[in-house]
Amino acid sequence: MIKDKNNIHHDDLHAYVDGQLSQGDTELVESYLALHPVDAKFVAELQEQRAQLKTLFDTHLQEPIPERLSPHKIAEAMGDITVAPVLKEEAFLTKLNDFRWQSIAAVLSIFIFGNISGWLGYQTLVASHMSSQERPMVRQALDAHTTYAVEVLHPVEVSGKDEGHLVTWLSKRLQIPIKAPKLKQSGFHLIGGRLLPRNNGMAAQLMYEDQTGKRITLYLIRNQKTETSAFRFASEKNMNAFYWLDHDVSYVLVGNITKEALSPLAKNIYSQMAS
Amino acid sequence: MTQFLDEIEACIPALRRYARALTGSADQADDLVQDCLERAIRKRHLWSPTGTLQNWLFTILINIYRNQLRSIKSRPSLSSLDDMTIEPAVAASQPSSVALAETQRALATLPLDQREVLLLVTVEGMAYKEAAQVLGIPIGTLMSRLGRGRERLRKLIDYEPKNSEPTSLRRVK
Repeated sequence: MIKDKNNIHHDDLHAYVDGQLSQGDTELVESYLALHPVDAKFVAELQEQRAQLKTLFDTHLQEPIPERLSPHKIAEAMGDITVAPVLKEEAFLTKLNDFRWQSIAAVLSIFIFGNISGWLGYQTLVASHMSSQERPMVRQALDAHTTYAVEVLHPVEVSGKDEGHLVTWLSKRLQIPIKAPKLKQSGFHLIGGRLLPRNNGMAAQLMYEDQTGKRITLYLIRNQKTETSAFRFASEKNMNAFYWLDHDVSYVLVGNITKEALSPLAKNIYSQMAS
Repeated sequence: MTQFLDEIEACIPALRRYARALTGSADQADDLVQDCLERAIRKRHLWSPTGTLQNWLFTILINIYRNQLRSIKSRPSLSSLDDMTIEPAVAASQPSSVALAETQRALATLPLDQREVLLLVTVEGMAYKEAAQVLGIPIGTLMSRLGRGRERLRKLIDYEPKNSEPTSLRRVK
């Protein structure tokens, strides 16, 4: 709002040139300019300048857009981690997986006639809202699960029978207070755990097993930023994972069990760790 | 996700125009836009739909460009002048094309903070408040940068060409 019609500020002249004044103020400026030739010349020059800049660069709006700037292509090229908001867009995820299956099947039918059963299990990691910090964490948790959950003789470094020793050791190495959540009610018991190397630090893996021999692993790392987050879901091949940040610790729970079966376990762990 | 990518796609012409104006080079501009799109796709959970997607993309693009300039500070910022081509959509013999080329050269000599503001407000036609949000600066700072940028262009460029001598082009440098 212009207060004094005889004392128009330069900012108002700029706003006039940029068409950012109200109708009333525009009229005030116009009548002011009619009486002040120096300012009128200034405004005319700014208008010319603005028109020149528009002319110079508006031509680029019409240029054909190179393929490398296609957001769809970029998203596709961003590695094997395909990201999709899962909780809200379940339908989309199913569609995505269907699409994958179809394309994989198409490729297979053309090129491969041999043993294809190994390929059929293949699906890339699908996750919700994954940040650049979370991505390597989930990746490592999945890899650690794949490596050790199948191990018959040496699934863990320290047995769950020495639970006290295990948690003290891991807490000391990771410099965070680690507890081994109790999952007995859900049918899982602690087999034990191990220390894992990771970039700039260490991670801990706790392994649980149910009566049928199904194993789930809980991967823990120290959270540098002490943030918290909601539960997020990721899946790859036949593995499902929930991950979340809770103050000092980031967690990834991985299992070769359904999302529906894994979800209450994640919530159970969360509530035990928070208390 | 698909919808998000489609929405980003709709913003690309404006992003390219702005990147082109900011960097003065077609290749550099497209590299910048590509970096911006990659970061936006990777960080899309950070986008809160309170502002427009386009303004968020502008913020990302500008931050990337600032960081790039910071990391290659040893290189004079005017090096982009070499890449610049004079290619307004006007026949070369017309005096206005000389004026346009002059404007483009003068623009490249502006400090980045003034160029960012001037281009958002004029070329992109952004409201002052929006532009201030995109750049993360108070509106007063925006106005003073806009004022200084325009003043500097005015000094570099003769907006009333008397007999447009070719030498006037060299005054820019």
